[in-house]
Amino acid sequence: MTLDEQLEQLAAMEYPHRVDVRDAVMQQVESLPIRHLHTAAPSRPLWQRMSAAVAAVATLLLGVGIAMPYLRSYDDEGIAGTMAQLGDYSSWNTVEDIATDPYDYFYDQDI
Amino acid sequence: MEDRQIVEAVLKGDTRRYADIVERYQQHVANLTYKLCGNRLDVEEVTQQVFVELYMALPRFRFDSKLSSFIYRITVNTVCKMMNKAKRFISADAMENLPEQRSEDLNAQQRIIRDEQLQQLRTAIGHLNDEQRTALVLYTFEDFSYQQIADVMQCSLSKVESLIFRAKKNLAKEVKQ
Repeated sequence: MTLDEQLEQLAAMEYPHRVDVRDAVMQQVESLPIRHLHTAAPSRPLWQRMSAAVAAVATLLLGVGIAMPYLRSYDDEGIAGTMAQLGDYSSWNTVEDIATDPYDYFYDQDI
Repeated sequence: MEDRQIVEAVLKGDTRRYADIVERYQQHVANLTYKLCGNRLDVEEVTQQVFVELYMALPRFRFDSKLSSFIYRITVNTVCKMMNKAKRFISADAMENLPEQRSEDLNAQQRIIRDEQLQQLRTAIGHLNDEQRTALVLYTFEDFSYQQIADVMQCSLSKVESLIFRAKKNLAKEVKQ
């Protein structure tokens, strides 16, 4: 039998017994609280809810990451203090000094 | 009374009207369940569960498709859930319960082979993913058109075609093994 023939055979099958689940169903549903019938909010599948949660957390982290540099305080004292630690940069060698003899320049410097 | 009127009455609080929906569709649900799982005990249990799930899902039904389509979709999903839970697709009882139709002129040997092939096919249908299985079942067992299936599954026509094509391909691969 080909697959299509098998599917046709299966499709032609009817359940050979008469089914009556009405009473059993009504017994179950009548015990359910009636207010659920007025709940309009559809429930989303679990994977959708989890994806939404992951996306929300990722967005939050990205936002914090972008905002962080702007949240740090760059006051003048801080910048001045940093420059002071570097020393008086006016005495730093110029580019011309380095260019004349790079080997000597780097070899002689107290680094 | 039309399906829509019954559903509206139920949603307004007249829950006794729900029995009309059960009566109208229970045999149909049982037939579809039987095609999918083939076991008598499962069929009646699943049929009952389908109508309980339908009752819970009624507030979500928007009448953008027929109630019968909505019921078929719940049936297919419920069968899959219960089959996954039971981790079986067909039980030993099924061999006794397969109907005799079309087998009067087959000898016993041929009938056994045919029954085995159909059991294998049922198992293979159970292994399809939900989308492929829903599309294939609605197309093959319920004679839905591609457009009707697209409406039920809320997807495009081309997706329905692709799902049915891939479902048949996967079935052919599995039953040949």
